[in-house]
Amino acid sequence: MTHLSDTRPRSRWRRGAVAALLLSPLLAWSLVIPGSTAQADLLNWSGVQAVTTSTAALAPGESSWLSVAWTTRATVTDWSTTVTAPAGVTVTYPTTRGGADTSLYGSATLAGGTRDFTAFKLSVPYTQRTSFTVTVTSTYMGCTGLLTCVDTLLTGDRSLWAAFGIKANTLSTTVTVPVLPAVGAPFTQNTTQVAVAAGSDAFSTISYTGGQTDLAGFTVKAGVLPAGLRVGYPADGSASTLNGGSTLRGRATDYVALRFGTTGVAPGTYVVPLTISYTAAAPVTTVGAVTLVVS
Amino acid sequence: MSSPDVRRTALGLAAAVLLLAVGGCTSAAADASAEATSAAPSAAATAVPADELTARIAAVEFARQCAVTETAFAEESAITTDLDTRLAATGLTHAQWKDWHDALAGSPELVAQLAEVSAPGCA
Repeated sequence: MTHLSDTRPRSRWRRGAVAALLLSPLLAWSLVIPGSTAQADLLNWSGVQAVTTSTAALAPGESSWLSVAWTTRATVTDWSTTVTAPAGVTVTYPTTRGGADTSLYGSATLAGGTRDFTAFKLSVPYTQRTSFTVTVTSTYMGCTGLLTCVDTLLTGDRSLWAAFGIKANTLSTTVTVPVLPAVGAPFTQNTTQVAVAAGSDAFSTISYTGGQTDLAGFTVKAGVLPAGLRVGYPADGSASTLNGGSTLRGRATDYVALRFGTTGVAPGTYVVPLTISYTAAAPVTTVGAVTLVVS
Repeated sequence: MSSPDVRRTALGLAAAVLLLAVGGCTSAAADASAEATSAAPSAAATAVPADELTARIAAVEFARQCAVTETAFAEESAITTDLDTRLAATGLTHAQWKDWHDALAGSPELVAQLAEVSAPGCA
């Protein structure tokens, strides 16, 4: 039998054991419950990250749907993204989710090792002539990637999620939106010729397609008319506005209606000058024409 | 405490942490695993296998993912129109794509196939 001839080693072991016992629950807790540490990046142990931190370019005055792509190491679900933009830039979300946020295109689940994107519309004012950044904030339920964890995540039985450490994560990413001058004509008049019967007085439509940017207050009225020809506008107004509203949206097609009274003209071909007005970065008035074929 | 005391404390601490952590994980995982087994079948058991059809879908998806973030769409619906146009060009339907997409999370084969198709990276 071995005797401890010195009491000092025994007391040192005792002090160490007491200290270990007092401190161990604290450290063990942080190991058993992943994500309980204070550092924000450790909460993102699913490995979610943005693949792209720059969107397609927009022009001043443009409204378009942009995308940010994401990838993840471990499967996540319940994905929700919101966007914070500078003053003057409007954010619109897909109607499929009620308009309060957006999610991944395929579904609210991003499978580990795959990639998907979130889409949202930005409307940039004409005064925004330089590139800017938006903050894209995504929340999702994260998983460690272990098979049982993924299985539990996918079954949707949320009562088990806490036991597997599946919990909500939030990731904020700064994304750059490049701004470049608009390219191409501000709009295109699609209708070049209108056919009407002689002696008639009815509305005909003239179609327009927007260029890259939105044109507010878009109106069309006839200029100096050929002798005998009369023109009228909806609601007896002084000009025609677009059927879909006052703005000709970029790359959208809409039409105006003009009533041509031909009781005073003989059958033939007439050129009707048009005055087209709208506001882009500033008010614009330009001229166009439509050929009227009376038969 | 003296250096030997510190070492002994550290060793004791490490041992206690190890025992608690392993015990906690084992207990929680065993309980939850038992419940999960009884609650629903494993996703891996019903995983969709990869084949020639899924390879074609993966190729379309990879190309689309490369292009979509560089495109400004005029309308929300144009995003889906773009996808459907790409699918139709290779004889695929939106329904096939959707089924494939929804199967990804539970199919390591599909994920691996997608990774292989995506290996060259976006141009």
